[in-house]
Amino acid sequence: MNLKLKSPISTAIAIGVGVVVLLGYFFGGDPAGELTTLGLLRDFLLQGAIVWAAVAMLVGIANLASVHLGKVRADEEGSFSFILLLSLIITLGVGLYDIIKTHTDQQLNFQRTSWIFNYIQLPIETSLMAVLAVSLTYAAVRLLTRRLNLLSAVFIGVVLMLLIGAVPQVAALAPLFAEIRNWILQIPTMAGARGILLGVALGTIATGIRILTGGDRPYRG
Amino acid sequence: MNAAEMSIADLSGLLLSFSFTIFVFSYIFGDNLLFRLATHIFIGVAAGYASIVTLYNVILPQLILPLLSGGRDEMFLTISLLIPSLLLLTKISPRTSRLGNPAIAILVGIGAAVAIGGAIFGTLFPQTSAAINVFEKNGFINGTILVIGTLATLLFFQFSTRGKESSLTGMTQVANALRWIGKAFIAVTFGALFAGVYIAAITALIERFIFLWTFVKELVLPALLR
Repeated sequence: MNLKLKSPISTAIAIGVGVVVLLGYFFGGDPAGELTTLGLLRDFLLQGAIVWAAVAMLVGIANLASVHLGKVRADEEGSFSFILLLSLIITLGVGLYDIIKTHTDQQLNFQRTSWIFNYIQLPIETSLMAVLAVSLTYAAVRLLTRRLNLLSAVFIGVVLMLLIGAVPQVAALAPLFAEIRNWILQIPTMAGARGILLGVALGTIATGIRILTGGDRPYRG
Repeated sequence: MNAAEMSIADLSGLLLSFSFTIFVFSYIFGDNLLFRLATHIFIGVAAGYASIVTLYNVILPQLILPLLSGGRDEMFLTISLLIPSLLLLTKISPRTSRLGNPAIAILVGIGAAVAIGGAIFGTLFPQTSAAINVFEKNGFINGTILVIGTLATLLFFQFSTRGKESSLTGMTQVANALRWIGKAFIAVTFGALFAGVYIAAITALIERFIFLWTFVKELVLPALLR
């Protein structure tokens, strides 16, 4: 058998660290409630994971900036990429200034960053959510006109029933509607959600075990 | 909203909010320059804001400040966090990105273990125990629907490959029928999720319309009528 192991160091690290954290879940505390060595090691690694995930996010943002910088240089939709970079740099600059001010004044001083958040990020985010209402309506109509079968009819029927039942006046005039709505939410929806959650959990465990046994190695590259 | 009582910063902020809301709403008529402008600014601002939150809440207190003013033990602990962090930074350049693989492996290993632990203790145990007690809380008929729905939905997630239609036995035909029932329960669940998201989106739409109307009524109209 010709076993060719690629990236053995990274694989060993992933398996070792993962097994320690996983065992820490089961044997992390003694009967007296004190943390064992395994528990302490698990806590250190989890604490470290927060820091490393934060650094990884900064690396991701740096990658976003470099991709758009490349687009600006290649003049491929360069003006929008330039605007993106400009807004990123301005936000970063203002934020760094606020961080320095906070440290020098020894009190929270994030008015400028909050201004950007409240007057630029929040309105765009809320508006995108609002536009979603139009997109969802369009999607539902398309489902009805192009792919009408028993399951899509069940889907649309449940949506309509829940939406109509959510109107307080309807619930007051026709209590049966509200009762049917509550039954749909508490029984069939709960059954489906529970099945989906259990399925996702089993899938997560299977994927996790594949990583911890070296079957999947998403860290190469 | 009263223009006379507002600072220039608030007034210009409201004008920006109004403009961006209109830019995003222009998407209703199709993809266009204004919508793209708003989304690109949004991505830039969101990325910048996320960086600032990360720097202030995680990187500074856990990686930089302990190095500058911490004791010996704290410094040793911080250095052990700093080495993988520096290796992660090598991922920025394609030339040095291979050096960052061990740091990514640490993250993936921890992530896999946390996912398994979370799935077992956060989903599998609580949901299974809740499914066991359904008859006590919901009565016989509703309890039966809950059990059949849960099992049928779970059966829909087939983790192995499916056999050919010609080789179906009686057992697999029953399983297929149950899977179809599972599909119906998934349709009901997704319908409920869809209705929830739709209500949230409608709420956001109403909030934006109220903002636009208030802005026009209290800032634009008085300025035009003056």
